[in-house]
This record gives sequence, structure tokens and C-alpha cells, in this order.
Amino acid sequence: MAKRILVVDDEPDVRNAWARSLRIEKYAVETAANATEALQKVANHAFDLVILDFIMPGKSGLQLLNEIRKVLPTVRSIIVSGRVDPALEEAGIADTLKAKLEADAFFQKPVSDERLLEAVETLFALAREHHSWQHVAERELNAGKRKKDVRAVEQELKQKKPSRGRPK
Amino acid sequence: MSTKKTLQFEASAYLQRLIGRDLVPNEEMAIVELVKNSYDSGATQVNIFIQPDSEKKPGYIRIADDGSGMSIDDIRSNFMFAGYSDRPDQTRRVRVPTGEKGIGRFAADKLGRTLEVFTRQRRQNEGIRLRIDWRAFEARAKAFNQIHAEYTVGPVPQVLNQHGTTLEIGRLRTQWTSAKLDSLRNWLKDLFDPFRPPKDFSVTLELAGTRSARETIEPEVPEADLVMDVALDEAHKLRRRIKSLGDNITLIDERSSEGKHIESLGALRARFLYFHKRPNKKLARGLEPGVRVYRDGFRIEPFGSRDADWLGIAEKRAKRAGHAHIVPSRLFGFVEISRLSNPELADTTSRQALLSTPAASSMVTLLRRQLDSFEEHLRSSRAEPRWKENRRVKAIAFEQARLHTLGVVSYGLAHELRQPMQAIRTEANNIRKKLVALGVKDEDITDAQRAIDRGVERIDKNIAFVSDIAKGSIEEKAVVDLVKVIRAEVEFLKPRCKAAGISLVLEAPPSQAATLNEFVVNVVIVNFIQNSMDALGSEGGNIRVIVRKKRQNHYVEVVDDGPGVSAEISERLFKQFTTQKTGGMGVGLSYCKAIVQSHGGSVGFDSKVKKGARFWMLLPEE
Repeated sequence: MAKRILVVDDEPDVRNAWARSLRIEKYAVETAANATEALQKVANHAFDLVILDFIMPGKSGLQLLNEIRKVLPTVRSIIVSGRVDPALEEAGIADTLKAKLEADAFFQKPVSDERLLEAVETLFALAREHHSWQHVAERELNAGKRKKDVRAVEQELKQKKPSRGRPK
Repeated sequence: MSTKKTLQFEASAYLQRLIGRDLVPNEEMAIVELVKNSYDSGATQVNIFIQPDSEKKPGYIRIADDGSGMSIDDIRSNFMFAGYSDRPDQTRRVRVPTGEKGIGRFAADKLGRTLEVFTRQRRQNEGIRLRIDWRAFEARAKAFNQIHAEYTVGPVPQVLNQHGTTLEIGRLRTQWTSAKLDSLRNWLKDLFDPFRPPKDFSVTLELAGTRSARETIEPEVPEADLVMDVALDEAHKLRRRIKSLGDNITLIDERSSEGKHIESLGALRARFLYFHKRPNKKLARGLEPGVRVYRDGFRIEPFGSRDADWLGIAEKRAKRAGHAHIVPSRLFGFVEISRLSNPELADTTSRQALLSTPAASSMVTLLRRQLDSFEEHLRSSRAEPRWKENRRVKAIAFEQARLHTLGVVSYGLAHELRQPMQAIRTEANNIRKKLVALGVKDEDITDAQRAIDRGVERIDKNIAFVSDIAKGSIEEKAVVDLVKVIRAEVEFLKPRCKAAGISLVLEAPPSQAATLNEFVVNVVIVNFIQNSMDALGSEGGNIRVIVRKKRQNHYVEVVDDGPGVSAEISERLFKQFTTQKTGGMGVGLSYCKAIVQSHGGSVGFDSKVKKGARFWMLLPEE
């Protein structure tokens, strides 16, 4: 059976492009424009992977990931963003997200199709290995407590807007 | 026929009051005049004692000297003869007279209504005691010569040192408050040339009822920033020296021959002290700014007083709306003349009279020209560099503001562009994949998709760089190991260099502590290396990064053996939007320059066409 992927991005062109790309690769893809839509889909279908935009109107990608985990504790995740601080290295952000929020991968927009697909394949290869039940239970438990972590990481990664007026 | 007869001039006694008011405008000056008289009489010391009026006893002032004293003939021909002073020859040999002619009597009158004179000559057993009540002169109907003064001959123990003159002034006309006494102290200090005070002469001031004993008046010199010494000798050879006093460095030492225009002027010296900022009272040692004239160690009034702009310094500054560089309130001048070398700069009682002689106008001309040179020095050494510095700082601020604006725009733009860029990138590949899936296999389609992908990548890189500019904090400094910072960048770029066939080498000491902003170093080094990499292109070559200390400063250079910088480009290399490579916006180096300059450092390069280029950065250590 094909792996199921949920793509959540408020930009229709972006989520449609990814959906198309993933469908060509024979994945079963659903899309959502925001957290509400995404949670509805999650309630109705089980997904193996979610691809989430970092910042969207309403709930952010990281907050949404926490919500989805309450329903799908073993779901794999890729966070994509066009808005984090460009001075931060992609690899560094990926590490932070992994360590603090157990997000599996991170990319800055615009990410090449090759890299994104490679990451998807790698994650599914890993997913075949068994998740220990203990780990899953921990995840479920942690999801509720993570709100603070999410906020902290968001603050850390968001690009600071240049101040108005003249620099000192 | 007529017979010749004569009429005699008569003066009203009141003339004393009329003249006195003009000649001696204040009490401090009156005491100064009496001190000068003592000096002229050959005294080596003068003691001033002041008992201000109190409820218990009336005040009085006693001025005692150890001069030659007066005989009854002296008193008759000098003291009692208004407006004239014929000093005995014997003192003239010892001292050059300083006092104004016959002003002493007016001075005493200014201070108090009664005067007692005790005087005794050398080798005389007895002295003279004379009493004058100035109130007698208030009678306008009386003639001058109808006023009488009583005197007695006998022992005069009031005289200081076996000989000399003591004046006791009673029924004081002023209240000697502490402010008035301070003012008197400053007047007395200001009486002597601080650089060449009169020899063998001291003045002490004692105040009744104060705990401190009598104090000796000593002139003090302000602690200025600059000094200009001017010396003119008899042969009209002039030497002018300007020295910086803080570090004791001679800035200017010039000699010149002065021509005809100062023919009648004798030798003179002048010293001008100048403060870069308006000095407070302490730094000025209580002196008022101005250019003073000293004759034989004694100050001549009113030169250097607040309103006496006799060298036209204040006038010049006013006329040029503040663009004259000598600020009158920061200048202290000390002009030294002598009655012996400058007999023409003769004794007068008013400034106008002194300045009317050819010698005096020569002196003014000469000094004005010296001040003009001094002003020129101030302009070239102080004012202009400051203007330039201001312009530089403004230019940097402007450059930063410009880049900042660019950053603000790019910040908004970056968010906007990344979404469609993501769609373009993914959809271009989707088209390729779909065509493959539909059985269309075509090299051109793959090439086209890859070209779109590279294009998107490049747009993204440029956007990222521009938004970096707006963000990076380039203000804070910290102590870092400069070599470590640069090594990290070199290591980061090494793989890319290797891929392009370029050898990237770091030549540096094991470590080099520096106080600087890491971001600045990162941006500049990456830009320099990137620049060299681009110049070398696919040909390959060598890049050396060299870190060392140049005196106290940190010097980093990036040297390559690429094609070098063309002459046309090199002129505006560090300006914005100048580039000689295909690709790149030409923002990198101009930004490097702006941020390094904002840290007081500098960047530059040298290059020979076809022999490579060397880009360097100099950062000051604090």
C-alpha cells in the first residue's frame, strides 16, 4: 500500500507543486491550507508523513506537529520554511528541531525537488524499522507538555525583522 | 598801543575727583597702582594689609614697602604736584619705572577718604608723617593749590625696614567682601608677567581676621594645549615656535626677517597660550582670556581686559561668523616689552595714546600677523581634519543607512519571492518527471529543468545575502581569537575551493587575541575569499589568507594569483554595484568597506593585471 503523506502549506502553488511531485512518485497525498484543515484530515486518515510549513496563519507548523502527534504518535515529519533567519545554517536548524521537538527533517525554501524526495525516501526507510512502544508512549505523553518548547524554538528560528529607521 | 598782561590758569580742587574717576576706575586697580609706585621707589617687598569695615572697628588699608622713601622735597615735587612725576635718578638706574605718572594720589583717594603717609629715607634717623583728607577736594569753589596737608617730622616706626613708605588709608569707600578680595588677588596675580616676573620684588597680601597668614602673590600660568612663542630681536629677526604642550612636541619652528614696516619697533617677545576647548577657571588659573602687554614684568592696563580687543581677534571672529579659528575665549597672550628696548612704547595712561605711536602700530601689525599664522596652523591641524572626519563618519552612516534600506526591502521581498520560487522549482521538475512518465525522453527537457533549478538557486543566494546585510549586528565587540575566527571561515570554504581546483592556505600565528566584531571579520573574509575564487574561476590557482599584527592593529590579507583587477574597475572597486564578474551584484566589497570603516578600520587592495590581487583589511585594536 502506498505511503500516505499530508502536505500543509498556506501557499496553494507550493502545496500543489509538492503534492504533484509526490504523486508522480506514487505516494498518496492529501493537502491542507492550514492547521484546522490539517487536523480534520488527520482525524479521518492515518498519515505516515507530514510536510509542514513553518509559519502559517493560525497555528504554526511546529504547533500543528504537536497536535497531530496526539493522534498519530509515530508520524514522520518534515518542516519547510521561507521565513527563518537566513543567517542560520539549515543543518543547524534541523538539529535544533530534531533535538527539541523530534521533527525529522528541515529545509529552507526553495528546496530542490531532489533533496525533498530523497529525505522522504530516507524517512520511510527508517520508518520500516520498528518503533519501540515505549518511545511511542513517551511521545504521546510529551506532546502535551511541549507548548513551551515550541514557542521557544519558534522564537529562536524566526527571522528578526530589521528595525525601522536608521541603524545605529 | 596795548600793554601785555598774563592770565593764570586755576584749577578747582574738584579736579582731583574728576580726573581720579577716569584714571582709576576701580579699587583693585588703585591698589595695583600703589604697588607699582612701590616698585618704582626701589622696594623689594610690598605688604598689603586689609582690615575691612566691621561693626566694632572702622576698616583701613595699609600698604608698606621698603623702598627709598621720600624727602620733604620729593613729597613737594612729586606727591603734591598733580599729574607729574620726576623720579630721582638713583632709582632709575636700578629699575625701569612702571607706574603711571602721578597717579598714586588718585589711587589713594579712590580707596579711602583719609590718607596717612609715613616715609623715611635711607640713612635718615627721622621720617615724615603726612596727613591728607581728600574730602577737602570736594569743595568745588576752592582752587587746587588752596588745599593744604599737615606734616610732622619725627620717628616713623610704621615704616617697614628702616626705610620706605607706608600708606594708611582710612574711612574706606568700599566694603571689602570676600568676592572683592578674591578679585583683588586675581588683579595682583595678573599684575606680573608670569614668564618673566620683575626681579627682587614680592607682594604679600594679608587679610585681618583670616586664619591663614599673609600670602605671597605669585603669578600662575594657564595649562593650555598649544603655545606659540614669538621673539623679535633688535635686528628684526623673528622666530616663531608652536608647540603642543600635552606631549611637548614642537609643531612649527620658523625664522624670518621682518622688514621695514616694523622699523620703529624694538625687541619684544610674546607667548600665546591656546586651549582647544574653552577652559574652566581652574585650568585658566583664574586669568581672564585676552592678550596682555607687560612692560618690564608689569602688566599695562587695559590690554587683555575683557573689552580690550586691541588685536581685533573678537572682531575678526564676529565678522567671519565664527569661521575664524581663534576663539577669543580660549586665547591667553603675554606680550613682553621693555621701556629700555622700546622707549617709543612710552608711558601713557590710556590705550589710545599708546597705540598712536608708530612703534605701537608696528607691534599690533606684527602680532596680528603672528596670530594669522597661528590661525592657519589651527585650521590645517585641527579644524580641517575634524571636518574631514565628520564627513567620513557621515559617509559611513549614509552607506550603512543605504544598505539598511536595501536590507529592509529585501526582507519583505525574500518572504514573497521564496514561495513562487519554491513552486517554480518543484513544478519545473514535475514537468520533467511527468514527461518521463509519459514516455518522453529528451535531453533538452532535462537541461531546461536544471537551468530553471540553477536560476532559482542563484536568486535565493542573492536574496539571502542582501537580507544578511540588514540583520547582522555590527556594533558589539568582544575579545576573540582572530586566527580561530578566520580559520573557521577558511575551513568552511576549503571544500568548495578544492572542487574548483583552488588551493586555499591560511598563514597565521597560532593565535591572535583581538577586540572586534566577529560578524565583520566573517563577512569581510568570506567576501575576499569568494572574490578571489570568482577571479580564479574554473582555471584553478592559489589563494593565501595571511593574518598578522601591524603595530597595534590587526592586518588580514587575501592574496590570489588570478587575473588581477583591471585599471578601470580598480578605481571604483569598493563602490556599490561595481563588479567585474558575471553574476554577483557588486554589493559585497562596498558593504565590507562600510562595516570595517564603522569600526575605525580600513580595507584596500592592490593588483597587477595578470599577476593576481591582494585584498587587505586593517582593524584597530583598542
